[in-house]
Amino acid sequence: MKSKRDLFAVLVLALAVIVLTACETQTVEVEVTRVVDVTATPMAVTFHEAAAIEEMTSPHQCKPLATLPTTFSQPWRLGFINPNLAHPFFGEWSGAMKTAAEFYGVEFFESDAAGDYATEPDLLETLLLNDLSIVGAHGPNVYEGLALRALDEGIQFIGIDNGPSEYTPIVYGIPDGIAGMRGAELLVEGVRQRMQEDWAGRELFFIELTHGGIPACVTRTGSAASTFQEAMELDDDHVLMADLTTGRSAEDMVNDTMTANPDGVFAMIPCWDGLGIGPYNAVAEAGNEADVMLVTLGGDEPPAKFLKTRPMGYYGFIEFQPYCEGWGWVEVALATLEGLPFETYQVRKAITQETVDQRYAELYESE
Amino acid sequence: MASDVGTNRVGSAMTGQVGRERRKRIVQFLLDNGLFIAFVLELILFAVAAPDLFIRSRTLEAILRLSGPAGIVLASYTITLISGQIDLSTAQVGGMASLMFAAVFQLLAWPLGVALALTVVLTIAVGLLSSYLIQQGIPSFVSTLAVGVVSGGIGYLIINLTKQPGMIRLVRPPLRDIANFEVFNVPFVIPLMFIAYAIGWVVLNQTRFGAHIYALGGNPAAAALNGINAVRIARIVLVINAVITGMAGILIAGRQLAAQPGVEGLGQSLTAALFAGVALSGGSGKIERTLIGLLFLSTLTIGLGILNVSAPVRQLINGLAFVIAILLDSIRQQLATR
Repeated sequence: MKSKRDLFAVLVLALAVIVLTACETQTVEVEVTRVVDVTATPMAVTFHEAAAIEEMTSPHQCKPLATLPTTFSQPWRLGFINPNLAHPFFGEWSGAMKTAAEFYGVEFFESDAAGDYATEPDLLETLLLNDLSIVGAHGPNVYEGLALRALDEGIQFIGIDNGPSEYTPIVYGIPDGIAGMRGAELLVEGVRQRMQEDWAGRELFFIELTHGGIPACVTRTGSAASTFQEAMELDDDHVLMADLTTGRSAEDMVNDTMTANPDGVFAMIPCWDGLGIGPYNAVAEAGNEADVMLVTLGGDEPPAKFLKTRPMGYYGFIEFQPYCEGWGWVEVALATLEGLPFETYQVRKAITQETVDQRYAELYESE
Repeated sequence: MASDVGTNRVGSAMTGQVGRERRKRIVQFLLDNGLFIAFVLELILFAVAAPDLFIRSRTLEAILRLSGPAGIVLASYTITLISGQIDLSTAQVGGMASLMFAAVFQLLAWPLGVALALTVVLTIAVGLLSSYLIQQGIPSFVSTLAVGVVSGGIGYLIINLTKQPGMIRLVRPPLRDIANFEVFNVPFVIPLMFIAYAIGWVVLNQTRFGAHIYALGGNPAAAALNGINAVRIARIVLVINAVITGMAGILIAGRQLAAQPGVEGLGQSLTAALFAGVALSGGSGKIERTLIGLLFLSTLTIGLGILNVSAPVRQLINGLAFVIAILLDSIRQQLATR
């Protein structure tokens, strides 16, 4: 009897939930219609100046991606699912997004996936409760579902470093092809020096350290591999790939490659800094540091600190300027909401052992 | 004088016994109704802390959206647990099924029915493997743990064989339309979850099979003496659980537009069931209460998100919820054996 009473209570609860939820009308129109009062005295629209933003974002000196008005047509509410606030790179995004939202006078809501991309769909459900105008996330395997869910709610999705999707027209983030190419150009510079010195006459291999499940990585390191191969005139047998989707660690894959080619020397580019620094340290630990040369992609504080120690084979990194990337996301989101044009994000800085001290001082010792 | 002392001793002993009985009744009451009380308190707490965001039908919808696919699995998981089996393979079986389905439906572009049928066959095989291992005398949590590893391996194998980058995009119609289908503005997964519970309730409470499940979970030896075929029941229960988990995995993949080796969100089943009073050792528990357990956990997730509680603290609270659920189960066991 008690069991039947429980079931009855649950069914009543279920019915109430369905009725309550169904009764709520949903807005399906995405388009925002602007009503212009032609009889009113036209108000002068003022815009934020680029110089002011560069000063505001000092020492990063971010170049604004859009010219935004000082007053928006609506009180926009932005939401973003940060993949991992504890990670220095993504932490920089977060700090920049909050500061940018405050600077532009809009509300910003943030969730933290704490390194677990699979939780992002659930986090989105909570974030959407804040009546957002636009939402974004970085989630290589889940972003298309997030974009579709955002569309269901009648809002746009702007991801970072995800890659293209048919559910969102805007692809924002690191220009992966260019970033990979610049990384390879930097690596070529270092390798050519070594080939005239201690690597003269040695067999050169290139190792692409990537994650096949992340489209941005495939483009980024793929571009690096083809640029390096062409510049150094390597045949296909000397261009190798270590892909994390095989389930093996980058350290093991690099170690196996070096063991299989004991007379070789190895140039490496990873999709992100840690993916290259880990295997580099493992190689150094094994006493083979002289046989590798590394250029990484990303460039937040940990790789900069590591480069300052002048590791023999760590030539440098391409700095993605995560602070500016995060700041730019806010600008692109606001420009999209206001119907204004915006520029693509650019990767500008290549940091080497010669320049790292100055750059480190600018970014991390200026306060 | 001596008789007075004797009377006092008897009196105080009786008072002590009455006190113990009262305490036991209170503990029993709290164990029976604690989940409902905790759920109501949780609702009040979040409603007071964030009235503008929490007291809305939209929040309720978000809680139910979160519960949907996991709730469908929990219905069959509860039956499995009551029968005395602990299935630790749900996340991997869900992932494997979604990958199998995605490979056939998305990459080979075979008809939806064929993809579903092949996936069902695979999940049946997984359920049969679990029950075979249990039949060999291996505890269910070890057997299903091993089968979970095998299922995860099959998932990765599908990815490798199809040369996909760590996942399979699942965007071919009409799956995404089905996965995101709404009935009167309500995602269909929500009524589907309630239907799953209704079926589960009928099976457990109105059928001979349900009675056998309780008997088997409560005392396998006594059940065997009464002619209940324990192997057959365990096999049916594990196979049904694997199939339903597989279907939920496809549903989740359809909503996320990507099939991946592990399915997040199916791991809450054990916590929700223990919260609801389903014994870890089997034989007792009510399926309708596990729904409240699930809603309690989903509300916790949404509520903590609304209050912007940081990720490590959220993780800690979820961990504590699991610890409390295990403790409650232990207290129930102790009371039952007294």
